[in-house]
Amino acid sequence: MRKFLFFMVAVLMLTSSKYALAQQTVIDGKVLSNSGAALSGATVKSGNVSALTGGNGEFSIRVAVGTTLTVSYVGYTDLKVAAAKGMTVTLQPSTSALDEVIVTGVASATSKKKMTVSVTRVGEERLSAVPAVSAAGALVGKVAGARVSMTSGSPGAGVDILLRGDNNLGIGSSPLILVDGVILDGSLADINVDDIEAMEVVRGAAASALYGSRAANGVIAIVSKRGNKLDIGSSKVTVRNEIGFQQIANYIDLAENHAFELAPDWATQKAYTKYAGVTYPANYAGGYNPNIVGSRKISADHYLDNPFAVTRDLQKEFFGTGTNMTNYVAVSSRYAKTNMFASFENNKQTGIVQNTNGYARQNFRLNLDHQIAPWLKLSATNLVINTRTQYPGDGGGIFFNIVLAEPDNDLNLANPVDGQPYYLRHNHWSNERNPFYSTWKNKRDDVSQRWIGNYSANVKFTKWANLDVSHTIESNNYHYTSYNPYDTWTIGGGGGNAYGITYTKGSLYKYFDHTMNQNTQATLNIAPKKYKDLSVKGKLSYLFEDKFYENFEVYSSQFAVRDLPTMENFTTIRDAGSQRQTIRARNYFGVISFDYKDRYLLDAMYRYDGSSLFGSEAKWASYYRVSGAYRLSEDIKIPGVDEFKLRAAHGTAGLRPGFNWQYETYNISNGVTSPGQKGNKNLRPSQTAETEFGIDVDFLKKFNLQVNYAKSVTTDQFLNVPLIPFVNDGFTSQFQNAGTVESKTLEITLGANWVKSKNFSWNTNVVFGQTKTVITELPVPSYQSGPDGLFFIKKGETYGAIYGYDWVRSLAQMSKQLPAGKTIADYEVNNEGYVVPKGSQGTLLEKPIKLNDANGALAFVKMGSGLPNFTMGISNNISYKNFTLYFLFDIKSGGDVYNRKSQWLTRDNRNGIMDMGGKPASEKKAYDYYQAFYDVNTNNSYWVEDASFVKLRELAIGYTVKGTALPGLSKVVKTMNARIIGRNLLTFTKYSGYDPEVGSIRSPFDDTGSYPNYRNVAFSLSFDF
Amino acid sequence: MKNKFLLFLSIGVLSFASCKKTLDVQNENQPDFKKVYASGEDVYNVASGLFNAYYSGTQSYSGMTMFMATSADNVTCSWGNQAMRDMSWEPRREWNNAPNYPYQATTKHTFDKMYSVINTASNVIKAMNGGVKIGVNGADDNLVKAFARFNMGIAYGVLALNFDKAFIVDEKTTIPGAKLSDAKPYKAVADAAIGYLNEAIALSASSFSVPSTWMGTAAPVSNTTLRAMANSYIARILSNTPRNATELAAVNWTAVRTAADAGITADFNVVNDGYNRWYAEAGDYLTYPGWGLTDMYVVNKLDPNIAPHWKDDPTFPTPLRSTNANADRRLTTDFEYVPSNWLQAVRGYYHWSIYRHSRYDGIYALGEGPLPEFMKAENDLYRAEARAYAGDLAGAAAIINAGTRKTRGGLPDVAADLTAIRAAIHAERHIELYVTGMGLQFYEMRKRDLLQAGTPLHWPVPAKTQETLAETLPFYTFGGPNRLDGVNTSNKGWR
Repeated sequence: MRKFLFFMVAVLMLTSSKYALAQQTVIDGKVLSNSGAALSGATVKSGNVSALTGGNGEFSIRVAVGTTLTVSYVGYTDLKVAAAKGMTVTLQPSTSALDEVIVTGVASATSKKKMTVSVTRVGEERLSAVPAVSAAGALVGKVAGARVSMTSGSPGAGVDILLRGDNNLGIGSSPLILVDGVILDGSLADINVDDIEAMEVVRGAAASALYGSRAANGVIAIVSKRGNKLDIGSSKVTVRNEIGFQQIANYIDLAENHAFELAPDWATQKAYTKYAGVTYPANYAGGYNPNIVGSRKISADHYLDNPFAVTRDLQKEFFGTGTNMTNYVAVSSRYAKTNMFASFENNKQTGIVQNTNGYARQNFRLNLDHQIAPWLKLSATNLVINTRTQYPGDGGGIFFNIVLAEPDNDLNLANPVDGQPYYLRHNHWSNERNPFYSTWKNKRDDVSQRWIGNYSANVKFTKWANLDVSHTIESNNYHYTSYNPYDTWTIGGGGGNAYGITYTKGSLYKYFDHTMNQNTQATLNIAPKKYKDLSVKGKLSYLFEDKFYENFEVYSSQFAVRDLPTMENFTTIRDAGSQRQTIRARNYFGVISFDYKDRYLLDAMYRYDGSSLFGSEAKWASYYRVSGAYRLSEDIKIPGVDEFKLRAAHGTAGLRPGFNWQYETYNISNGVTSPGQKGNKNLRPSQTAETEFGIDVDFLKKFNLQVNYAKSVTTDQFLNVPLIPFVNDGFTSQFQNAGTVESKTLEITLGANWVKSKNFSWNTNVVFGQTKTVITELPVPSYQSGPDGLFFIKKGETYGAIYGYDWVRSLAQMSKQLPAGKTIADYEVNNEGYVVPKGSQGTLLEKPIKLNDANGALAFVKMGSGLPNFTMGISNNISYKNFTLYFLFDIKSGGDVYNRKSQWLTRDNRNGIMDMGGKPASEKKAYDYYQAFYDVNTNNSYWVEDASFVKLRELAIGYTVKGTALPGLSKVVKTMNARIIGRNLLTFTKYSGYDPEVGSIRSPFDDTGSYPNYRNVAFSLSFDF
Repeated sequence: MKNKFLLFLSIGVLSFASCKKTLDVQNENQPDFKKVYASGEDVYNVASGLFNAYYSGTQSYSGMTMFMATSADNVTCSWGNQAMRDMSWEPRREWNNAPNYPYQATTKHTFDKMYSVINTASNVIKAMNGGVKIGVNGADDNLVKAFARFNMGIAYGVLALNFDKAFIVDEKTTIPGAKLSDAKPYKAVADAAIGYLNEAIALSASSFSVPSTWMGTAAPVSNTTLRAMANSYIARILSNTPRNATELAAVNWTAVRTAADAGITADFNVVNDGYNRWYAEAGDYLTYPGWGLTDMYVVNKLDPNIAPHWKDDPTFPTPLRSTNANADRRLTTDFEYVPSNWLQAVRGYYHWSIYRHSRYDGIYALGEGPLPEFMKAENDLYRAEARAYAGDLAGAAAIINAGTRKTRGGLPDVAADLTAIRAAIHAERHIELYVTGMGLQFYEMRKRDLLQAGTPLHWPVPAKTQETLAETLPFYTFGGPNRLDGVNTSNKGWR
């Protein structure tokens, strides 16, 4: 390690010591932005002579008067001007994608055209068109190869983000998130978007190698706004208010008929459905009643074509209209030595479930930079976030119970015993609970306070060397309470409880956790003067990570005194627990980049990570990257091609194991231990090696194209390998490094500036991503993974393959598994393509037949894949005079979802596919047919659905007025912008659930308890002062 | 000079901030072997959790208990949960012993929990054999050793009663490179269980007291009570191991009688503590409104006027609530009339019933209170059964006539007649022992050839365990219409 550092320093020193001197007149001048702000760090050069501008944009260079100077600054278009004493040069911002500046994962801020790896920058203009409710969802449809999935509509919920392929078997695939240099541990969903200047997305291990053992899934770096872009002596105030409405866009199709025999006089009863053979007490209005005698029996044909006495649309009753609100104010200013940016955002999202308040958040930000001396600059970044979330009572069960309820159920019935609203047993014929009661009775409260801070100093030793020292903090306090009052009803108790319900006597659960991440980093930045045509930049860095986490929880039940939700109100505490974790890491890294003649670009980096999460015999791991690019268009002029660059990179990155995976553990509960897992002192981080090739092309002055192809191989996966306990001291498993997953990704980004004129502009951005992931090595038996074991981990198989039982679909298949005494003539293929007994269609005997394998056992086969064929985002930004129109389509082609909810609904004959009401007799099927597919919830192919979609994800129609056009406000208001904003407005899909975007990216699975996504229409009004 | 100063200052501050902290971090949340077995106090503590693991393996929702009750026609429930429906189809189906079967974890839970008990108890004894003393001058040595052997015995007992084979290991016996073929047949496993229980009995000769927290009891358990319990469990294992009537005839009834006579004289109850450490969750689900109903087979035992089976036909007349004055009194005290069924007709009317078990409603409602793990009545039935099969019909009848059949059921004396006694024992096990010890009704039906044809007589080594043992698919299994051998799969049945 020391040798490497010595080598790096030596290389940098050598390159810095050789610079040429010119003997000419001293030309002094200033470089400003188009807005008049001084540009510090701009390059002014002539041949081999160059100078950098200082803090006020000033420079001096020795050249002859009249010499052509090239002035360049990242993010701005180069300008050639004649040298003159006292000159002022004004640069215009670049409109070329290749002139964007990247700061993440590289030696120093680098324009995109000089990048040797692919990093996408999403700037403020694209983030603010339709400001996402949080940073979590801001990247949807905007980055090629990035999948951002809204897995839950729950207000304040995060999103699932996957960059390129999911290469990890035993650990998640979320990217590393940096917010202003702070490695984020907590949720991205609490970060407000209005403060964000840009998000940089570093896909793949090659590009993210600089972040070593945490970065195999790529990196997303968020940079917040600061005051340094303002003109000196100026200030800016932004006020934005948004109010909107949230509504579910799609309901699940439910059966509105049933298969039970109706009483002859059923039509006379309107409050409930009167079944044959059942006697009802007088004045019965609905819900469970102990005096109902008899059971409802199935009609002979088994068709769900008998009506309910009353058909309520219970989903519509349950899902209400929610509201969202954002109040944002930001103040920024810049003085000669100091700049600041301060903001406050208040955000509320009630969501669509009644009796809950949803999510509320306040973000407070203060970013400061102060140049104490020419050689010393101090910076501080602070973000304080308070959130309060009220999740629906009883969690996800309500989303199941609302679709299981039968159309004649009255959810608003009062409890017959004590008059509480929402009678728990709303359905005499089922034990499912009234979802309204749960939301009304169970009080849940989540509160968090976060502080994210970065405090840094930059010390300039020489013109070519400076040191950044920073200390970052992420502190999070979170507490959660779930309270069920004494008189909360539950089913049970029997005996004397006539209605089969009893008071729980209440319960109280409290949970608290605290996280404190403190990272300290020192980075020596070296940028020697250019030597002839070679410029070299580099940095050496040391990062120390220190995380402390603890939690505790207490639970008890049966209050002594009613309506007193305190832990003191129990005679005994039933359960309590606590945990503490300390995680540390030391990381050393160096990166050096060579730029020869502005066209031959080479980067190299090395990183050496030590972590407490690694086994004691494997404490250190190393990573590297070598990448290069050739700007072909600098040498060969191709007609119509403005810029053409070829890139190639190879690098490695890793993922760290979970906290206790290396340790030998005994489980401990209530002071009693039992064997847990066998330790592994050799547990290493998983290792992802990626090779990336890419091209960047600007052409016809209008278009920019980026194409990337990446192949990554992840070895040393974390597998929790089962052990035979009786030969392993009772231990049942051990984490081992084993297994290999490979993925190949193609990404295409195409930008088009169709029109750009004074009154009309139109640009389009298209992103496309396609990834294939395969498990290539698996030295343990194939195993089921993910929810309900739906996803099968098997050598040679696609990662994401959905496995389960299948059904006989052809007579050829059937001929291989004929039961004794049967011939193929006894079977036929029905109108849905399944083999059934001949002549059985429409009868009770029409049932599908499970496919057998060659051994005669049930065939366990691949029945789908969660991996999409491709994903795509198409955005358009059109402005005409003061009007703007922006819309973003998000497209997913292919990728299956296992619709467990639909399968469950079949259990209770609630699935809309079973409803035979109004169907001609020839098309009717008995419920037995669908119940056979239900198959007690075994994983089977009938419930795998194509979850392709096209979503109108974002839409904004805006109108901007300059302050001068506002009577009486012209001296105060610079601009006013009014917008109508739509989020998740339309979804085109064949998927039958609420939304094809359900479950996680890795495990697309429609569980019964998912909070549905919803659409949001809002009005936004903002002022710049 | 300034630059150098700044450079060294910066690096110095950084070094100070981080260098003192090591990358060797301890796991503060879970102990390792060294911590768990470091001292006598530690070993004492390890031993304290043995019975709780057994209780979880036999009484929790996760294990086999629920489907054993439905496959025995003791409880009826057509919900798919925990294979309750799959093991009670009519006609019966095979046990799907594939690693991908949704309920494969049920047998694995019970299997693994028993080995958790066995391995931990072995380690306890190994530590003690290695010189660790428990208590002052080893004052608690006997307590811990006896308790460890007791739990090993009852855990092997469950393996012997429920699985066709199992691996026999202890502090001295290991199986390096274990293969499925190393597993021993259930009779050998039963012998091992009884061996460990006999050791526990011997060790319980000296005075000690098992803390109440160890077994979830209301009060500490004395050495004499533990000895009695060990005897009762021996009787349970000996009496219930037979897979069919042939094996039943070969039971050593003298040994059963000896053990049962030395068995418990009061119910062994575990005090459920509000869903915390002690929770007989399987029993809760088997009786909870909306879940398990009492199988008509049992209803018929309570009132012979009611048919023992609900025909799978919508025209089958709903049986009427019992009005039989001669019915077992428990029909109204322990069971509750269900006027309308909650089980779905679409899953078969044969699952329907007009009664549910309500005896423990008050306890299950909040998961709090004493629930029987081993009733005195169960032990009495072994005493009676041993006498009956050994020819002491009068003795057997006397025990039954002094027991719950009469005291709680209000039924007339049973005659000193083998058939009548067998019938009385059979009914008592279905009625009085309802949701107590794991699988009691299943064992009773099994050894009498009464399990419906196609019901597995025991279960194979769990699929996931076979997978870890590197067995190749398909794994062996039992049950279903194609395996009616009467040895592993029932080929007879009560209907």
